[in-house]
Amino acid sequence: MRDHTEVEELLALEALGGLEPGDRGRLDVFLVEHGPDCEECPDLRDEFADTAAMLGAALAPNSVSDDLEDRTVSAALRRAPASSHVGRVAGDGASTAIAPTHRRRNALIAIAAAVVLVAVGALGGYLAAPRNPVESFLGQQGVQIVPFVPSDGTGGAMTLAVAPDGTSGYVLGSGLAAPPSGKTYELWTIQGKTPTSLGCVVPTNGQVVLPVTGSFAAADVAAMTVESNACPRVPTTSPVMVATL
Amino acid sequence: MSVRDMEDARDRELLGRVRAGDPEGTAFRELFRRNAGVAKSVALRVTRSDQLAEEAVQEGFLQLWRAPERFDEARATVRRWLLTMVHARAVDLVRREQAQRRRTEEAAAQPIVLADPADDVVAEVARPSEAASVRAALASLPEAQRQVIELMYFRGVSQTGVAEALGLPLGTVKSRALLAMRKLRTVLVETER
Repeated sequence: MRDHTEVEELLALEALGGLEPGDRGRLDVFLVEHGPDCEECPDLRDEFADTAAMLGAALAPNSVSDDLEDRTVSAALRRAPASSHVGRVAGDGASTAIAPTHRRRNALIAIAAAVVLVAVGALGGYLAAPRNPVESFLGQQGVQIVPFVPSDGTGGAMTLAVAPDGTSGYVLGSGLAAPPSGKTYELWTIQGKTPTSLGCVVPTNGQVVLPVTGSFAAADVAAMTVESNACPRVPTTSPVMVATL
Repeated sequence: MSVRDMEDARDRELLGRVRAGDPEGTAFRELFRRNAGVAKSVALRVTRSDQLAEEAVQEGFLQLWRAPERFDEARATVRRWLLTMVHARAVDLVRREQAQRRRTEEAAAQPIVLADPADDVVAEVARPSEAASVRAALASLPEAQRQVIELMYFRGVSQTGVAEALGLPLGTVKSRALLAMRKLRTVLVETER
C-alpha cells in the first residue's frame, strides 16, 4: 500500500485553496504516480473538498446582482451541456459572457489573431507517467512551475513545469474533464501573436503527464484549447486554460 | 429524511435535467436561484470584491453546466460540489490580484465570524442547523488550527501568505491545515449521520 501522508497534506491544502504552484505540481505528480487505480487518492480528495465546502455552505446567502442570473443562463445557453451535445467544441461561444482578465484577453487575442503558426509537431498524446523521469525533472534546481488558470468554467488543474534552460518541460494535470467525443486538448505556447503547438493530449481518468519541448523562455503564455482529433496546426477555438509565463 | 436531504434531492433532480439536456435552461436557472446566494457568500469572503465574487459564481455555474456528469452521485451534495468549484474560481481570481499581501495583513487582524443563523431567518430551513454544526466543528479546533482554516478557506490566503501572516514556518502551516481538515472531516461527517 502506498504512503499517502504527503498526498493527504497537499489535498487538504488544495481543498482549502491554499495550494501554491510548486506544491500544485508536486500534487499532480503524486496523483499521476499513484495512477487511476489508487482508491485512496480520489476518496481523500473528495472528502476534503466536501469538508471544505461544508464550511462555505453554512454561510448566510448574499444577494446577487439582478442581471447575474440572466447573464449566467444566457452564457450557458450559448453552449450546450457536454452531456447532451457531444462533439461541440468546449470553448465555443460563451467566453464573452465572463469579463476576461487582461492575461486571458491577451491570450484570446493572440490566438484569434494568429496567422502564422510554426508547429513543432504533435507529441502524440497522452503518455503514462513514469515516476522517475518526472520526479527527476522536477527535482532539478531552477525548474519553473507555472499554474494554468482555467477559463469559462473549465474544471481541473494543470501545471507547466519548465526546465531551467527553458526548452523543455512537463504539462501535469489532474481532475480534467474528458474533451467531447472526436475532440482533443491541444497545448500551445504563444509568443506575441504566434502560437506554437506543443502537442495534443487526452486525459486518462482526468490525469495528464505530457513532456513538451519549445521556446518557453521566449513565450508570453501557454494555453490549452479544444480541437479536433486531427490536432490542427492552428488553434480554432478559444483557450480553456492559460498560463502566463 | 432531513430538510437538507430533501433540498439536495431537489438539486439532484434539477442537475439530472441539466444532464439530460436542458434546452431552455429552466432547470439550470432554478439551480442558480437555489444556490447562487450562498455561492456568492463563499466567493465574497475570498475575493472581498462584489464583481470578482459574481464572476466566480458565474464561472462555477458554467462549470456545472459544461460538465454536469462530473458530479459524483455517491458523494457530496450538489450544493457542496458547486461551492467547491466556485471557491476554487474565487481563489484563482484573487490570486491574480496583486493585493495579496495587503489582504493577508487585513485578514490576519480580522477573525472570521460565521453568520448567526438568527440574522437571516428567511434563509433555508436547513441553514441554522448546518451553521451550528460548522460553528461547533470550528470551535472544536485548537485556535492555531482554526486560524489557518479561516485565512485559507474564508480569506483565500495561500499557504505562504498564511505562514507570513502568522509568523510560522511553512511546514507548520501545512501540518496545521492537515490536522484541522482531518478533525473537521470527522466532526462534520459524524454530525451528518
